[in-house]
Amino acid sequence: MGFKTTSTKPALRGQSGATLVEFLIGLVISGLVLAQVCMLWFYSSRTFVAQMNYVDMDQTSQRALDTLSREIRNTKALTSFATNQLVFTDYDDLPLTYSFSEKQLVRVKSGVKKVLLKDCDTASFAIYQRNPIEGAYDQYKAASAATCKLVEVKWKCSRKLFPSAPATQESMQSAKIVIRSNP
Amino acid sequence: MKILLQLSRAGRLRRAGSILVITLIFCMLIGTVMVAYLSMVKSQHKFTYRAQTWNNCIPLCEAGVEEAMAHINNINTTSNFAINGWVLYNGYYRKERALDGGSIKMVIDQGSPPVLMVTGYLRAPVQSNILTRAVRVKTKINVRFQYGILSKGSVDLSSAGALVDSFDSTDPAKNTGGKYDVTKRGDEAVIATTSKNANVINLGNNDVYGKIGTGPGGSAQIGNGTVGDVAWVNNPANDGKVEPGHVTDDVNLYVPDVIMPSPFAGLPPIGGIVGGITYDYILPAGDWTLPSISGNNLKILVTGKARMYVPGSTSVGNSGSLTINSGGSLEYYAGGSIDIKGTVNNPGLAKDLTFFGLPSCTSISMSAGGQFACGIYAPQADVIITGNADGSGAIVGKSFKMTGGMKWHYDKGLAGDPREGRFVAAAWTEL
Repeated sequence: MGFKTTSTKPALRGQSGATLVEFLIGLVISGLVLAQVCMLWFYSSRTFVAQMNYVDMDQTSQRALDTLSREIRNTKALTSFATNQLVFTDYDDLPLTYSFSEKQLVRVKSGVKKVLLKDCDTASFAIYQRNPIEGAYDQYKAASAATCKLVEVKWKCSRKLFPSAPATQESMQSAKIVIRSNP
Repeated sequence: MKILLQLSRAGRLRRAGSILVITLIFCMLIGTVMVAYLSMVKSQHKFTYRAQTWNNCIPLCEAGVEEAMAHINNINTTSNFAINGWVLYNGYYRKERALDGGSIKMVIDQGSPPVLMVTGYLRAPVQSNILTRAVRVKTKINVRFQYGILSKGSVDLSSAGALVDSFDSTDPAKNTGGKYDVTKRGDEAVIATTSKNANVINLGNNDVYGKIGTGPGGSAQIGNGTVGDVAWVNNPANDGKVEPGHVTDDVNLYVPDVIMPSPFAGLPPIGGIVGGITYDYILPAGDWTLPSISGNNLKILVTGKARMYVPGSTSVGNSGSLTINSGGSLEYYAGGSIDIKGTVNNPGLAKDLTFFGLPSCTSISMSAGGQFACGIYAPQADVIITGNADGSGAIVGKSFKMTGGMKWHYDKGLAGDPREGRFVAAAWTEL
């Protein structure tokens, strides 16, 4: 019995003291690690969402641009022009309208409205002749819709992650599209 | 001692297990984020590349349209398109070509003017399927004389008494006996230049029944004359003005040079007496050639559908004449300058006489004493028409000048002559 008493006490005494220190140190380290993990997760999630936002906007813009280029190329002529609205005579002689208002780029044909873009900060149209300017990668501007052979579209979109966040996500798109069937 | 050691090892093992679990959770979180990022990047890359490939199908189609257009405009394909690799299959002329990692299928139908259908194929990125886009191009005949006067440079109509209007030798309502009649005058004469210079068209005090057009930035100098339709021009209150919509600065044309037709087997023509008149050269149907032509009273008679090639200069004096008999026509290919005075195709219609100036022809001067009718197509020649009579037809030149009060009547009938044109795109539709 005496052997048992003298042999176990120092061990238990040392073990209980170490547990308290270890507990405190462990608590601090665990807190630090947890904080790091949370921060990493928070910033990763935020960056990821921002990137997804940008990718989504980029893909939406690309789809809108592909739609515009395909449809404008097929039209017969531009019948009305404003910097925020284009009205074409489509290949089937029906009017085809693209307009920008209330942060949306909208396509209207046969009474059917389709929103091509949302969250548009700016969007504008310009019209040109087909004649290229010598020595420049540009065309002469058209004075009216009647002499328009080429249409330029530009827009800039942005979104906010949350209302108070700065609008850092934006996507600028620009293209010149030739009306192929207008001699 | 054995028990304590066991207890101590168990504690270490528990701690090691906790670290392992935390590490695994940590790695799992990082891994999840990484997978999400990589998935997003892959998706974006795939979408962007696919859109790029989808758009690249259009240049492929355009290349196919260009090849098909070149084929139908080839001088050897006037009646049979099944040459040069094209085959007639199921009622369509077809050809395929590999191009830029993709391929194009071109189809020409048997209509007149023909319709082209071209499909471009490109492999979709990171996929095995093929992206395709197809376009249909309707063609039309781009007539050689679609304007009354077409110049690549200046147009000078400033001489006193000059006038430009139109008529149609093929429409009885717009002519009398096929000839111009002032009571049936039209207002479809277009004076166009591809030049972009200011005041490149000089109308002086003269009238144009039709429209005028310049290249971008170009302009016309208008004194007391006017440009517009018949009602506009005939109203003296409009002198010095241009009717709205009758002047543009967007002329954008390619004016191809003349190419000598092939085959062309010309023989020297001979002369003779017809109807009591001695002609130096009589041109029946066929091809004829002379090194040059010169003579003050030189007389030429055309009795059939003839073509004439003169590589040198052409000079016909005041007493000379160029006569086209009924049923005859002449295509005159000039390699040198042309200077013709005297009688030219009078009476006659412009569709029966066409002067073609080859690239080496840099000067054409006509000074007819009476009425004359002809088409002049000489993109490298400065064309001058002098006289106080009436001329009818159409003119294409490097520059154009009309003096002596000449009145020029554009024959709209030339625009409807399919012999004169080549196929160009009229409508473009993506299918």
